[in-house]
Amino acid sequence: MAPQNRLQALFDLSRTLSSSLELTEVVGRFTDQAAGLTGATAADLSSHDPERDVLVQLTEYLKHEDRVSIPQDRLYPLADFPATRLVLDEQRPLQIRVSRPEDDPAERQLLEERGLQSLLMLPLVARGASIGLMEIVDVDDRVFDDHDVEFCQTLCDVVAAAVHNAQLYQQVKELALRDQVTALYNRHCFEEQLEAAVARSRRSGETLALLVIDLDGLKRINDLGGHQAGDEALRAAADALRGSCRLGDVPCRLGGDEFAVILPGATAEAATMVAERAQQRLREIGRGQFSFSGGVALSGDQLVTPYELYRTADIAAYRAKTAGGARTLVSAG
Amino acid sequence: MPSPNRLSALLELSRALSSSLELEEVLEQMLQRVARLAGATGTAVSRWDREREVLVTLVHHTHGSRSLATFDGEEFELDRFPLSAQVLEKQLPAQVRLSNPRDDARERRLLESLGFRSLLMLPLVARGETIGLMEIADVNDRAFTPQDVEFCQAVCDVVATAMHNAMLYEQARDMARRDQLTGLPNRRAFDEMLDEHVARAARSGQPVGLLVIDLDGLKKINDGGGHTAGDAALCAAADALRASVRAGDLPCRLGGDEFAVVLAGADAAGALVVAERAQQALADASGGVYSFSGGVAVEVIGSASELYRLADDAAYRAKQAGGGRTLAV
Repeated sequence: MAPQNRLQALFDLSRTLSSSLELTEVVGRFTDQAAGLTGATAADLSSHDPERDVLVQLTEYLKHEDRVSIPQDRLYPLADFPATRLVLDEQRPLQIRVSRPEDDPAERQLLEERGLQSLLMLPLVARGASIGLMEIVDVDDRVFDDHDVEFCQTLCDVVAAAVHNAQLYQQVKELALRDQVTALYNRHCFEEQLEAAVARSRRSGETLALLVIDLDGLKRINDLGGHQAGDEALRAAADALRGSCRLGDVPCRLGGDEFAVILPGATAEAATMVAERAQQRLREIGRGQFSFSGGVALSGDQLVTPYELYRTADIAAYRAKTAGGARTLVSAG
Repeated sequence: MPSPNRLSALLELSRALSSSLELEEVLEQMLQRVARLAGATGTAVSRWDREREVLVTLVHHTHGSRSLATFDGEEFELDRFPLSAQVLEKQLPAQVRLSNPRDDARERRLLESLGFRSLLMLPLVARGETIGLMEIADVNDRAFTPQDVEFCQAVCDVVATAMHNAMLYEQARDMARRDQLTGLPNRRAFDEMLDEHVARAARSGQPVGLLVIDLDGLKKINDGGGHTAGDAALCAAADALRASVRAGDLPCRLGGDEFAVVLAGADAAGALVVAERAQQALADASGGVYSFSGGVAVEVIGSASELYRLADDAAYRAKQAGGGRTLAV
């Protein structure tokens, strides 16, 4: 690629990427242009999670299908990939070739498994920190020369800034969806999620259960120990719910002493089991002081709208409360 | 196509501006570059407030002196500046020269009063929408060539995108700090603000007052009239607080039936006056139906959580005493 074209290409990319703050859009737009920009087969992106010490893969080139996919929850522990860790720690690019026996064996094995011959790893650095990794991969055995590496580093600068901005934006948007005491999804978000879950269930025919929960005696806890004691009880309930949900369940705090869990694909028995598990956990966390009254409703012929589903579960929870609390009832409807 | 120099300048600008999502930082970065890039003597960036039909100056830079006016910049009514309005609406650049008697008279007068002879106005367009105006001015009488204009448009593209991103970020951050029902700052914002005020009080020796408020009988209101009635009561309480605080006081909704007001520089008597005013406003707004229990605590040195605990305790005692009143520690 001629220098003039490279400059134009970089500027165009910078404009394209900065015109979105949605991470999937930013990543997608880069992926579409990566091969043309680098002259390599593809360029993959990962984000660095220093807390968990892993790389989270954002895109992956699939050789056999000749396309880039966006994998879900693909994590690479950095402990298993010392060469990658070096790239992130020292913020320096590194090349790996399958044909070079002295290169890192873990990286070479991974490349071979994917049907690739060469790799150029570059750190994505934003505001001084390594926020991720760009991997330029090629199906041919090739050496990236100094000009290639320099160009790719500039490319990384552009991509890193855009990815970082998108991540920051996602974080603050996420905050607006969360209840501040428990960090569960808030009422606003619950309503959106329930509506989507009801629509999905209607399309697919899959069951959908809703569990509504009222913490028992929150008023008394508040009166005795102040709002801080009340908050602690709310957080305990939230932890109990989080720890008892199945993968894909959505626990929310609706406000006051009220919580809910959306359970896609659950039967009444499965929903009751989640509730019983949460009740048990809450008892353990609160050393026997806290309990809740729960109600379960199932979406179906009788309960068509999200509101009907919610009302029915809420009434069941109310019956559980008037029966003395610390139990979960399933709506007869 | 721009020359390699201009292209690398544009790339550098794009990279510099995308290194932050804070509007002020983006503008600061821009300011350092645009006048120099355009080879002109002054630059100004304004935001278009469509509802009020005004241009709000965010930042301007002249003759080496500069001023960042991100929050309370000067405003220009668009009906008085038809040429600017046209640039925004048609998304086309326009030039004004003092020496050209056919150019818009108002723009020329304004230009002259600022000590300039030539002006290039360009729309800032992000994702198809005009968000503001870039003005590039020169003390010399000059005509901006088509190449100049083209380059400045490319600069505007970069600036508009970065500004738009910063504005979206600001909106999202604001959403995360506001209670959705009442529009007051929420508990997350309250925790941060109280921490800041207590720290400042410890430094300055000025007291910080805290009023914690519990709406009386929200449970009964909810049980009687459903959540809509409860929501209306909460909004009435929020409005009463807004109408009763002094300038600089910060009313917040902490969640449920609980509100708070951070009163910088207030002693207990001052805080009680605010509380009484709010109690009266709430009674007036609801025909005497709604009331609250309030607690006041004041601190010079200490911790935010201690201050909150004291005020919350006082509010609890007010509630125990029958509600509809405010007690100080």
